Amino acid sequence: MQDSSQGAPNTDSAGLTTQRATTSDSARLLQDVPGVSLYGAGGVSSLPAIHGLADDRLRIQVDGMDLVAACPNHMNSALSYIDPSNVASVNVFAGITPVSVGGDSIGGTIQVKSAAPEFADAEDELLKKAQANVFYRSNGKGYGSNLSAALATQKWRLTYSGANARSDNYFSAQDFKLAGSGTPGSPWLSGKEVASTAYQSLNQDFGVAFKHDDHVLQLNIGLQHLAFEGFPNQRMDMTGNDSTQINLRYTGQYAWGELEARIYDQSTDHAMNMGPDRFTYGALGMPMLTQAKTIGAMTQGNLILSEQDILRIGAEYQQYTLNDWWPQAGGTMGPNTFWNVDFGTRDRFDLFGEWERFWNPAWMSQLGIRSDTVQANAGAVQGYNAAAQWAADAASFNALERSRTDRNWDATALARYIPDDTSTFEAGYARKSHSPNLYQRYPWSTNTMASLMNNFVGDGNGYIGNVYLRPEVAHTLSATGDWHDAEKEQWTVKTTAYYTHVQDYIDARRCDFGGCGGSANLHTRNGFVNLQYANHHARLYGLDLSAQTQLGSNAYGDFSATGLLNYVRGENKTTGDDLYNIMPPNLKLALIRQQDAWTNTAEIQLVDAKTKISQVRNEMQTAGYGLLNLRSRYAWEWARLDVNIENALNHHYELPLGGAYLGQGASMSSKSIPWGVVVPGMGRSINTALNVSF
Amino acid sequence: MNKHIQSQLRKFLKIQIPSYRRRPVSSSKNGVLCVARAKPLLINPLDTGLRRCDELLEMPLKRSFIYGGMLITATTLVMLGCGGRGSPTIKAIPQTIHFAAPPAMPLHGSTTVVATASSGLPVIYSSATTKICSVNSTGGVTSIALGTCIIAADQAGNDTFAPAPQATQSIAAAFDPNQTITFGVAPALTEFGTATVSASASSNLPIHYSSTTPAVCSVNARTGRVTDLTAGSCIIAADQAGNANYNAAPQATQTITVATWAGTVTAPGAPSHVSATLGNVAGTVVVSFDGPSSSGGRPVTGYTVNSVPSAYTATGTTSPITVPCPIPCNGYTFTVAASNTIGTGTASPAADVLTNYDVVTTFFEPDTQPNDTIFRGTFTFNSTTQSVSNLQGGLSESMTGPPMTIVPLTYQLSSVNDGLGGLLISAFSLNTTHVFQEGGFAANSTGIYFGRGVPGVLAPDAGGQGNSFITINVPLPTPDKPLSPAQIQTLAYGDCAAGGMMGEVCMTGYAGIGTMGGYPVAQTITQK
Repeated sequence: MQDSSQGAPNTDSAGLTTQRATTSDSARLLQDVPGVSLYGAGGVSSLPAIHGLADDRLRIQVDGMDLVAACPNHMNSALSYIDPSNVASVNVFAGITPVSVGGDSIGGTIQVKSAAPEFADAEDELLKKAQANVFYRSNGKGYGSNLSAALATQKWRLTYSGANARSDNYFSAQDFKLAGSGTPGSPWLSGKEVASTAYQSLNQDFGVAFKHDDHVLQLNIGLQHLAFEGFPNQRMDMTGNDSTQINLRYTGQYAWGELEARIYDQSTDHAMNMGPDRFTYGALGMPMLTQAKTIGAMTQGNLILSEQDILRIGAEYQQYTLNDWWPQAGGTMGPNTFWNVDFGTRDRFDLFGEWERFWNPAWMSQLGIRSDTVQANAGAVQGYNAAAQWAADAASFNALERSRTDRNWDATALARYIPDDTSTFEAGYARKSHSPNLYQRYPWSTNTMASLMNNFVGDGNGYIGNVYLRPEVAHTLSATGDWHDAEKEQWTVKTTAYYTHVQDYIDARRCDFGGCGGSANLHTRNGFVNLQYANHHARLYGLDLSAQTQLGSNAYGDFSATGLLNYVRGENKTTGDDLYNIMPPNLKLALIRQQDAWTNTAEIQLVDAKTKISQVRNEMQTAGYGLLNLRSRYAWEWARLDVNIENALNHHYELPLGGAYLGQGASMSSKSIPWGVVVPGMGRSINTALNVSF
Repeated sequence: MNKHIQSQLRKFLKIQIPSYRRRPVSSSKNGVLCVARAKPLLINPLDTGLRRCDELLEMPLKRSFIYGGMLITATTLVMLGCGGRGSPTIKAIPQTIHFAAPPAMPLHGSTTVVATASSGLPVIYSSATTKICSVNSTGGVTSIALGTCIIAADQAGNDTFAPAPQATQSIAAAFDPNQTITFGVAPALTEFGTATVSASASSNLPIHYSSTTPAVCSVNARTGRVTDLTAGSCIIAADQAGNANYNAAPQATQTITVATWAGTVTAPGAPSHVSATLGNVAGTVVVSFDGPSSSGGRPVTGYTVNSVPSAYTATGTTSPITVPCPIPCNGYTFTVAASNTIGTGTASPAADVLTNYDVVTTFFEPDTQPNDTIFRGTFTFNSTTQSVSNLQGGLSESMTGPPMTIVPLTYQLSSVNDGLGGLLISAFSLNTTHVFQEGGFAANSTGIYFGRGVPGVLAPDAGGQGNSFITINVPLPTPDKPLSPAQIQTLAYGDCAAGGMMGEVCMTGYAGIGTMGGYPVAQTITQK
């Protein structure tokens, strides 16, 4: 971990290596970053949260592209489009996020990047590099492989990377629900088997880069074919996701500074239906289809004004189009197509300027301001038929003025003070804003069966959009202290305290109209309910503490230790409720022994009980737990072998942010899957990975 | 798509699209592209410069491009409008349908509508209000009930013409407030005997009978049962007073010539139409009957009601006669015998104690609020045998409406003891107990309709006959006794009619939570 010039903790390639053997989910690479927690979702699609703010409250960029989830359940999250093996670095801006990397987000920014292009040093040299990796994970019988190769001259570079991963359902350490099959004749699911957690994914990337002096032009075409991904906390599974990403970027060094420019395009075809562990509802199930297109462009100039001053200016544009429709499936789910979001659009145009000044070796300041205009709209909709309950809802929605324009602005002020070689202090204020996404504004049906399908937080409830939602505006105060030895080799202690007040925080209220369930829906305390998004006020505050130290060396090797403590609290100041999916206090301690090429790590993870829960959502409490993870790595010059035992003591635990367990059974009704079961964590798993480099 | 076609299409779009920029995609089953919602843009293939429409069918499904900031995905746009992923229908020339001026139609009468397609192709008529009117293939419309009759006309197109947008015509059935009364054939009536006259009103409202010759005969005002008092001409009048919708009907009369008694004078014959039902006063049975057809040649002087086995008796001069019978009165039947000055005649056949009840059974439906699934019906309870018959009524479909569709359940096909002191009575919409795929009507079925996957069996939403059922609980020995909580849990329903289907799954409700979360919450039974 190190500090970037803009204060973002950076997890580089070496730091990511250990995590890769454990997961096919790129979001999991962030789990050791202070302040970051993860919402549980599918096997390759966790949703990161920074200081309690998750999903699209964060700006998540994959190789500079702002990829938007095109799914009412956010199954195809941004980080699902890059395999962990292809991730070279991760920047997490968790505190005062500079406006040059922020925009349309209030929680922070995560930048996931593949390796920077490397060219041959000499004109007649041909640089050839390749890397292959295979892995196997015992729990869920997960396996996969990836291959990357690069050919480069001094001017040109060609790259290919491909990664596939698949897994069966994973198992918890003990029975957590009744055994049974999802539908008559389907496979038997034991009490330990966490249904709908299997997945099968394939990500590929083709790249070409051209370098001329200090100018680099890169074109990458990414392809994803995700054949299946189960979601244990959703009522459907992803039965297909095909996406193409085209990313053209330019970086040039000039005498006056640096120029970056980028245009990108993403086209996504997304399908959902009942997976094999669920009740199928007949031959067609409940098909839900989504098509989306994202087109983005940005340019940024980093101008060196003087030896002390940098000015970053830039402009960004993004055009997002979404169609979400549910083909007829018979009975009252027909004969028409159900339009959930019809020609939804969400277009952004941003301008920003950021001045960074190094007043002297001890003091640095950064001031930034950003304008962010978001225009959203959606077309008229229809239900499955005109006779059933959704006809009235559709008529009401279609009568609304649905076009919305949000003129947001952000501002940041940050100061850093480095009094000596052993300490750094940083404090700042940020005003950040974020407009509602299309699935918060435009899902319209109050019919429970339909609303249950609109849920991207995994709580099992139904959600109805609210056209009149206002943008969230967050005011954050943050201070960081960093103490270390002069070389930053022996020990470091870093802590960040933060306080955020969010005006118009998009929370939820119990739905009291249409087909939402009447008074029972308003008063239910132990069941799934129908909710509508609503603007409230909220505050979040907390503390991150990370530390590491060298313990000493002897004949048995070099010993070091690391620690990470996270605390965050989230409150709805309008209702007095607690915010949903706030990670309880948690602590990680690791003892590391390194001897020559052999590295061994014993890690203890302690998580407190989750007792602060969102009552409006009937969020479930979870018990505290402790896990022991054992990891060992042996590295040769050309290869590396990882053997990890995750949850070595096979301890049963519930994932605090895992959501409601909905992975099996008849999921189209609010009552047919019992409320009160939390998605459990994985039982013991022995994970091995072999990486070979050429 | 070859470059020529693409070029032509782009050129055309440049002209046409700007005025529709940023408007939502709309729908049309015709034409090449379906672009604007506010005003659907129908693109005639010929206008694009393409010589053959079916060239466009060759467009790759994934082909798309951006124009004016708007995603133009040719096949997607067609697909959006046409209801799912599929190939566009873009061969044909558009056509429209026009109705001639709407004709007048009397209530319960008929008329004819005329619709023509601009293509000259024949149109298909259908009624969009089947409970109000019907229509035949030539446009003949028959009024069924009061209301606005909507007739739809469709033309499916052919190789040349695209399917026409459906056209409709509304006809208000004119209501005639006048009504008439018609008598049936006059019955034979012998001196001092009884017979029944029958008259009906065109409004179907009930008839009130009276005798205009009270010295000769009397008549039951409701049933039309005539009792002769002496020989002569008996004249019966029928009246209908009208209501808020109908005027009073002109009185109709029927004359019955009473035949004189010609045989030997005897005791009277057995009374007919004997029925017994529980009285409103607990511990009583009300026995109703008609007098004997044969008087024996002398006026009837009285009637005697006896229980079988013999325990309770009562006498009277007219029907009905109330006789005591302690609750629950099971095992007892009742006979009636008539007497005259000669003696007491033979007793009528014994009648069981049959009582009609209304029943309302409610299932809470958490996912279709404010609609619940409610069965409203009637049944007959036989106190003598402690059994239930003729359960029938309607089951509301909570996923439909407003108003909710009601599925008629007319076949009572199952009666079993609930083990808790009650009877589980089930009625079905079809004359079979097979409701679900596995056969039968087990409440905890996964709910796939019976016949799914069987060749030739249509799914309910495709016109097939899905079965539906209700299971009520009738507590013994008295049906109107409130159900215990345990008995509430025995109530169940399954609905495999089209309006109760989610895909191939029928909507169900039972204590174990139905397919849409429904579960029983209440049942009330009241004596009619």
